[in-house]
Amino acid sequence: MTDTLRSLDRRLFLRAGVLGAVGLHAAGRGRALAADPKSLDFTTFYVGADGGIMQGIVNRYNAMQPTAKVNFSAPAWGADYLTKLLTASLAGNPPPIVALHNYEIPPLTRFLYELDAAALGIKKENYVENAWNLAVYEGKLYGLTMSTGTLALVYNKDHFQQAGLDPAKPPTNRDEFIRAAQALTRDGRFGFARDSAGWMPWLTYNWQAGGNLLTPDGKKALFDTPAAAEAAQLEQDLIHKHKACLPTQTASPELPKLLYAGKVSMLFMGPWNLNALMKSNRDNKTNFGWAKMPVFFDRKKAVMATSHIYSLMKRKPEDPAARELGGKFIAWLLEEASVTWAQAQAPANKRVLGQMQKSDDPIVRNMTMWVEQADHAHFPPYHPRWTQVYRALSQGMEAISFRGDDVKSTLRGVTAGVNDILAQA
Amino acid sequence: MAARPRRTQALVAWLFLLPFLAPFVLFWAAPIVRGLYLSFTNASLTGADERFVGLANYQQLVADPTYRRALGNTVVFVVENVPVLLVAGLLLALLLNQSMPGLAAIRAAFVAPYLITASAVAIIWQFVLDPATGLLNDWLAAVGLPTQRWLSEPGQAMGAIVLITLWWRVGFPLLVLLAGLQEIPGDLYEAARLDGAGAWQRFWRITLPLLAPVLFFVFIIRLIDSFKVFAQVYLVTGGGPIGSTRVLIQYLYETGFQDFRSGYAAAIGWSLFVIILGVTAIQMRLLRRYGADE
Repeated sequence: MTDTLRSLDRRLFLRAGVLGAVGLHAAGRGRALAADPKSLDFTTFYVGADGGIMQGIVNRYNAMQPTAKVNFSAPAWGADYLTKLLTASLAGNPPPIVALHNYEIPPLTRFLYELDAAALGIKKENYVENAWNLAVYEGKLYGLTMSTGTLALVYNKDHFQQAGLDPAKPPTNRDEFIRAAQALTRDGRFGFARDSAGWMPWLTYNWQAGGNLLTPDGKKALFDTPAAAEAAQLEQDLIHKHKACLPTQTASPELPKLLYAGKVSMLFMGPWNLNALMKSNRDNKTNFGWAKMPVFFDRKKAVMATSHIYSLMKRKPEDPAARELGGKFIAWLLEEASVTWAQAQAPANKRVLGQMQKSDDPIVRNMTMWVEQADHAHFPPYHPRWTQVYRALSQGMEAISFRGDDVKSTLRGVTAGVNDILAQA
Repeated sequence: MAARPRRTQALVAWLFLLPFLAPFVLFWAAPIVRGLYLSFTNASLTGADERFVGLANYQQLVADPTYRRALGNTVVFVVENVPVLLVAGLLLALLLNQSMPGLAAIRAAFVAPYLITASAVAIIWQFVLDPATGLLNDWLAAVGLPTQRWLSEPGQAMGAIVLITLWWRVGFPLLVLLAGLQEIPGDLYEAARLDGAGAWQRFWRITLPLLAPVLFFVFIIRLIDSFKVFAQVYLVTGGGPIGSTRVLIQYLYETGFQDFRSGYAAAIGWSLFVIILGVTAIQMRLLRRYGADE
């Protein structure tokens, strides 16, 4: 009798427990369906100060609307970032919203949704034309360009003064640049330092000289044209003839350190450096200035640039809500957050230029110079073997610049090697 | 009747093995087989259509100038790095096998860099060797000596990488050889001393022969490790200047994770495996012959 009662008690207890758990789960789920905003991951490569600015923008978005909760993250930069996105896409579980550089679009197109800009309320004419086209691949729009980062001249005004140069008149053309770089090369420092990795000055020089990188069909390299040779000769002359450029290879992330340490007086830098430069002027009493990219060759207005494109990634199974809300978020970023974004990067939305010029924030006001250059922005081409091609090109340019190898024969050799690579694509 | 307990015993044995066997197959054996298969395909990390291409990737390796140069750079690194590490490790082990004040602290100081991660090593040595802002050039200039380009000069960069690797990795040969030295019975040295053998003779006749198996072990480990050199090169020079330090694993990484050519990257990996296997087999044969002669 006692055993039967004990058994009944246990059964009752178990039933009550199961019913209670099911009830709690159902109540929680009902509440979630009724009130919780849709959670959306927004993954970017903003690993520097731009990450802090974007986090603030995302927080503002989350506070102003109840339907979506955007989770901002910046897990990596460069090849590691793209690899993470690729593997997540292959597994069917990528973040629904991502930031991409223009060269990261082609490998990912099969994992990206095509966007309808008009349906999102975005007008093409309000955006930098070059930047808009970056997200177009084989006639389809795969993203919307938030920012365009052109290179500009950053210089040390104190060094200019010490060298007898007018800090208010930074060089605007090749001759002025060479003269300034020579005058600035003194007391153990160099007038200029070249980036030998992703931001080779040769790219800007070559485009300005009327050159290009690949034939339109992507089957041949154009590294041995007269324009390419003129551009490469300038790279070499700055080091070996004019003795005005740091003659040693320095890793890209180390170059700004040389500027801040006073070892170099002029560098080409993107808008993402403006925040740090102004902070240094304020906190460390440095005196850095910035100016538009000088005209080294006057055949074509051109400056090397990169871009930040926002895209929507396909998930398995399909998530229509993430697609819809993600599109709305991207449209809001471009239309409503571009001025704030100008604290870190140069927005591609031309409509905000007036607001930026009148801004109380000096960083935003100074960022207008980078935005104004964007109409002449040039970007590396879309080609499945571009990273391999660029490695061969930069190695050839290192040999020409630092070792002083013969310009024409080196470029011919690089071109032949690259054409072999392109033929395999 | 006896069959059932045996089957039960076998089942129990397999059950005990399963927690180790399953991850081994899943994360080690299967990826190796998959990697071998990939090397015969045009697979891409972008998930584009994968096709079987036979030996095309291996044929391309033979004609690929970047591969040949990376292989050459790797061999240069191995040839320079392995003897330097072995000799330095042996000399330090002999030195630190003596009794001296503060011996434990000195031993720890030499072994400590071995515990540091590659990224920290890279930051430390860039700080020292950077041609423009590095400490070493400042010191050279301060005493009136000409400054060097170190990591920026194709002729010097690989030497700088060997130097960095020596500082970073010498702790391993030091530890193992020190343990080997301490295994040699002291009475052998005592008897040799009584017979009038000098320090040099004791080293050649006692230390070296008895340490030979340990030396061989360290040699093999360092050799394999040196063929796989990557992190310090990638972080310190990025393969430059002018490709003078681009090694095979870096080329594999670039091919697989920057160019997304998984099939070709797998072929590079398997070629490296075959090279290491061949070199190790030759060494084993030489040691057997050397051992038989002894």
